[in-house]
Amino acid sequence: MPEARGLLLGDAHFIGSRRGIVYIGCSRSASVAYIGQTAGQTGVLGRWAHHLSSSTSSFWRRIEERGGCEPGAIEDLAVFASGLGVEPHWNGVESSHREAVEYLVQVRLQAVCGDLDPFLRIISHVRPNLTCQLPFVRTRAEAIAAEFVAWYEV
Amino acid sequence: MRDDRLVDQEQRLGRFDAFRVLNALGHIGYTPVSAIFDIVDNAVAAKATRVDIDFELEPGVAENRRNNVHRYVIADNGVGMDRNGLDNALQLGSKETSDEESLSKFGMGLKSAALSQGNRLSILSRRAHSQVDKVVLDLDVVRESGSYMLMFGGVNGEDRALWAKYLSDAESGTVVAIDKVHKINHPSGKNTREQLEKEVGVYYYYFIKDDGLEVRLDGVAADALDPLFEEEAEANAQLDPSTWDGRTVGWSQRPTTVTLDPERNIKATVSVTQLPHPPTFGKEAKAIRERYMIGAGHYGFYVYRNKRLISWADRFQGIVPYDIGYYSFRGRLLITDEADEVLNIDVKKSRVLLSDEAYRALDDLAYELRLKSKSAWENAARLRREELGADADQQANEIIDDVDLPETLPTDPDDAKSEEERGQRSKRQEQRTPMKSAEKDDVRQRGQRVHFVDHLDDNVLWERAHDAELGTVVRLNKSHRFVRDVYGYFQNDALVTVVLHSIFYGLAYSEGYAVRAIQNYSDEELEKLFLRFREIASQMFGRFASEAIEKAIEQSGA
Repeated sequence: MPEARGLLLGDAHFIGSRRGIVYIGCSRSASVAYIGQTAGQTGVLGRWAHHLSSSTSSFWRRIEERGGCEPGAIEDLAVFASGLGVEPHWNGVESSHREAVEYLVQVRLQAVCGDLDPFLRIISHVRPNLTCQLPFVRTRAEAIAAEFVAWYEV
Repeated sequence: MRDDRLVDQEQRLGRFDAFRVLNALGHIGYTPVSAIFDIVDNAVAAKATRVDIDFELEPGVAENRRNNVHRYVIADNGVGMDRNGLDNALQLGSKETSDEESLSKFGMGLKSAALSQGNRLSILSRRAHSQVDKVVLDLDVVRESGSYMLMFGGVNGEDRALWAKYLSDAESGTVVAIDKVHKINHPSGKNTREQLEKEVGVYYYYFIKDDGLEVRLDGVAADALDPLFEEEAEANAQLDPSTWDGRTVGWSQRPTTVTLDPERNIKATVSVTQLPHPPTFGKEAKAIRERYMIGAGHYGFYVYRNKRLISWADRFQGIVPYDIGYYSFRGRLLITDEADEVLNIDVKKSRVLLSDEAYRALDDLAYELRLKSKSAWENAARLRREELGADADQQANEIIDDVDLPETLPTDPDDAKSEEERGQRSKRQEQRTPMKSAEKDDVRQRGQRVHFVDHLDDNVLWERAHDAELGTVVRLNKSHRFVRDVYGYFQNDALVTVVLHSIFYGLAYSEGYAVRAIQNYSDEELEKLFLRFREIASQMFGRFASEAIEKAIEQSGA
């Protein structure tokens, strides 16, 4: 398991709050980024515990399929997270709006991933749905992508 | 045990059979059109403003007969070549140009393109303020001499006449002539001319539109033809699949960037438009198909490398599926030669094979766009059917309205008291669950007994309404997953719609019937029972929709 650095503890996004969150886990050493969403009780920390603890998790599978590197090449892991808001459509069991933002963030980052230093290879597998066309969903996704780029480049 | 003793080594120059190598170059898969375009590329690289494409047919042979081409001629008014330039042009792997936007890739195009069509390539060329020079590559000479023998000079009267025909007004230029044209299954001149007429404006769209290049076929200049019809899209609103009527070109994706290789930061610009839906135009459908090139071989991505088309309607191994619902999908991928390795561009510059990474990046972007395209196509088709009065929902309702459902069953008591009770319960049903006036009109005028409503209390899937004179109608809840997913999927299928309408109308009618007929319980108790039944059944139908039916649709490959 990679050494956990750069995690921000004590923030509601990470502790778990049943709030809708889009997160991006990235490794500079391996130049990979993985985008996901959650509204679970255990929040982002819980999701990453699952991603990292199981060798067959989607994260490790994508590392092998798309990352172009061995899991052992992951020497660092930083997780960026952005809360989506308090509105019910972000935070309910039904995940269409969160998945739409997740998809749009990935598409947006695909446009700029080669400009980043170091570059990032986006390895997550996402799919759109009809809510992708809602203006407020697209606006939120653009904002999250911009926030991530600003955070990554600091 | 490994033997580390030195082994005698000998250096020798590798050998090659010039004729066999050149013959092989001529068999890498050019068509006459792709070969001509490769030669036109050289003209563009030579900064030509005018290119003439011409072919001479065998005398006395009909234009539409195979193997009837005598000679291909491509003449341009570019900067031309001197003797050294001609020598370099025929070098296998001719020297790279310093032009960053060169259309050349391997320096083999001229030779392989020419030899793919005929056994003799002749080039006349002149730089400004100099004489016309000539070089000939003749495979028969190469075979006889056993070496890569070229013949320079020897400009004769026939050559001068050829030059004068195309370049009498030019200070410089080049005439490429290919003869000893292959006579086994060689496409007819007519076939090649028709294909060129359709395609040259698309292949050289940017050069013709932006740089003023004139490409003439039989002396007639081709118009620039944008396969995406972006100018028309600009005049219309952004594509909204739920309202698009199929009559206009709309933007599905304005130009945006996708990174094909993040490590080397190689990007492409992607744009997508939605072209018109031909069936919407009725009798004009054929004209629309021709104008916008809508059909099986024309939808997908048009790949432009350094502004020149290299792949026509590429579906990229399923990124755009093979399905009539995507016929209006028209995408463009703009790349530079930096992307050659990522896209595995071949010598002919006509095949593109995406790397795994590039495929995933493009697939992620295109997924939403193809959903939009298909959804828009289906909406236009639905509007067209409604216009024609052939709506699946309407057809299904007409069929159901014709079904004569019994008001009593043989097992029901037929005494006067029971009949009177049925009548009173019917009136109470009318008060309890009345039909709306619009519903009554629909029943009277169109026999519409199954209606879709935006929502129902407690998100139940259906409920009934009753009128003593008109009978029963059923309301289906559009917000319920079963209606969204299952009815939505089969919305164009009148047969499936009849089946689904029958199920729900049957359930609604049977509830009402049971409330009137089961007289050992009060009608209020029975209504409460059926309400509870509908709540439970709605949950079950929702679960079936999400776990069984969606899975079945997915597995069917649709």
